[in-house]
Amino acid sequence: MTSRTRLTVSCALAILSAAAMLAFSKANFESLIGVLAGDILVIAGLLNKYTPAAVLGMLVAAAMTGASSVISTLTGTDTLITAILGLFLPVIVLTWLALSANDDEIRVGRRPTIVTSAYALISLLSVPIAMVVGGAFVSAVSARISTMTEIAIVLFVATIGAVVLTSGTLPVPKIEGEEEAALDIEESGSLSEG
Amino acid sequence: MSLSWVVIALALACMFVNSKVKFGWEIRRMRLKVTHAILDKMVFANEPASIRVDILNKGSVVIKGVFEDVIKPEAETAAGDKRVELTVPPSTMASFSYSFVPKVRGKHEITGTRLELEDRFGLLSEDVAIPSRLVVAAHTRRESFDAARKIAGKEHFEYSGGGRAPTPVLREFEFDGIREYVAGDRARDIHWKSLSKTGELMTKTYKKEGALQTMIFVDCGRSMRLIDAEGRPKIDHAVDLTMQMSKVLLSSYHQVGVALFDEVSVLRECTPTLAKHHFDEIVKVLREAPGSLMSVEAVSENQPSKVASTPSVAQSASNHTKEGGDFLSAVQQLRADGKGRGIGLERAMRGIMAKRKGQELLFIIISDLGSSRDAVLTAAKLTERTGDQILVIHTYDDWYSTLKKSVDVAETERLYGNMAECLKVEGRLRGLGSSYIRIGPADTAAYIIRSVRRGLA
Repeated sequence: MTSRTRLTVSCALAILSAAAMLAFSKANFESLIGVLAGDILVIAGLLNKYTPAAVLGMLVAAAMTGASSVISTLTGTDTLITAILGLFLPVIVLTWLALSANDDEIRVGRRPTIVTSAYALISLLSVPIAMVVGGAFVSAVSARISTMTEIAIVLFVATIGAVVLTSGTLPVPKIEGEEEAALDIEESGSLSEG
Repeated sequence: MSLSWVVIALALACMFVNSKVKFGWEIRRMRLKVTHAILDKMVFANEPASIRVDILNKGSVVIKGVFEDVIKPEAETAAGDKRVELTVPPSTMASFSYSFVPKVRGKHEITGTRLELEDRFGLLSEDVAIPSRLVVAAHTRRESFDAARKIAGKEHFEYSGGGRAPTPVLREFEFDGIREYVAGDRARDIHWKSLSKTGELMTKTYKKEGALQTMIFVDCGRSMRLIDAEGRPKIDHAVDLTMQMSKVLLSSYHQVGVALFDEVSVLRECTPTLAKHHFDEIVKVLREAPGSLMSVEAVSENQPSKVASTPSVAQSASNHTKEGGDFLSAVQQLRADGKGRGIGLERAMRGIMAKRKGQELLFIIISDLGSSRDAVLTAAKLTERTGDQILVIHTYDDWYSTLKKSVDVAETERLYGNMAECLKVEGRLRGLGSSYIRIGPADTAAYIIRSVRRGLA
């Protein structure tokens, strides 16, 4: 992929993300302006390979969308889809683009992608999972839980998952070095000639 | 209360997790090979030496990071940068070059390359040490080589005149006769008396009784290597003098050999010969002379808070145990031999004497008569017994060290005591028939050669 194509794809993704954010949120005029401004900053950062501008734009867009979206529960299919398509994925894409604004190529590893996807999925579905598990063991408890409890469950699972996945030391890379002898005088010709 | 902020926080947490997992994944797949190469044919002290670093990415991931070469002792970078940020795609090679100035003669070690990696967020970083060792042995300064070449054509040890008492070296040349002057004869060989009688230029000729074998011993003991904060290293001066004197002797067709010795052993040696590239051999031996050591007092003056971590001190401390072990094993070997062949200097001299084939030998010993004083005195006794010649060039310690700003009574007494002790040793050496010359850092090889030729030693 050439750098021009990559840039075009990145800008298109940024625009798509902004569109998804606006489409799934109850955006008023102020939040519309905010998301658009943030998106323009991200695109400007991408074009100029300037990460700080792109990151600032991503934060502005995410904040405006977060303020205009109302997600009361993660147990319903509609709200879950809204959360994933309208908020979670656009923020992920914008963050990715903003942080790789200075990179010449996108590095995607299979294992990191699988691990991150599993982590995201478990965290997002932690509330329904918790309800199912709770219902199976303690059937007498009411299935209805408050928004605050849902927030607590998601944050708890996300925090535990992040700590588990990011703890531990980094592996040691396989590196070969060559030992070379000192410069020898035979290699350097005769001193007597001088 | 909305869950939207939690979802945004979760998205950011996902990116952080992805960044960390991918960072570990990339490091695990990293396959790097780093090689160093010296671009200069010869490396001289105080002159830039160019180094090229080749980084081969044999893995499947792009390596992006800051590469930095680690040189010990710390050397000043002359051109380029030894710390560069590089992106190395898979199956490609990246290179960078720089030059550093080895301040002193001796070995300079590039212990490896440090690689600083950073994750996408800039939250995680990892320092990786790449062990790619390269030892750059710096010769003495280029000016010293130039000086050796210059004085080789001008200076000579032999004394051509007939009237004066011969000095140790010049006995090898005897007056033979007079012949007609031929263009190119040296002015000092012209027989001026015959010019006044006959009106023609005549040239004196000398016969060489036999090529004089000379062995120059350089003391590489601890006292020779120790320097204070601003003093000139005695060992470096000794190396320069040895190189220049051997060049002069070789240019006069004398067989010359060089040996480096310390308190317990002979470190390197090349036997006296007149082979074609023998000077190269001598330089090679001299290059192996150990570098100077900063004394503890000088280190603590310069870096009061970092005494323990200073590499030279740490190195000298670690060498202590090794040298102690060497000394004990040498003494044990001496006792086991039971032949009294000695260690270090004495052993080397006996080895040369055993191969002399009836030739007279001249031993030149450059020493500060500190840790090797007894060895030098024993050597003088040995030459007295065998009838060989010995010239002791004494690098006088006080002349090499920096004088204190205010010389008080105690300091004066110390200097006086040192000089008195030195005179005693000189007396003992002269009593044993040795030639002796005391030198300081300003004394050149030409001065020493002239002193020897004029019988001042």
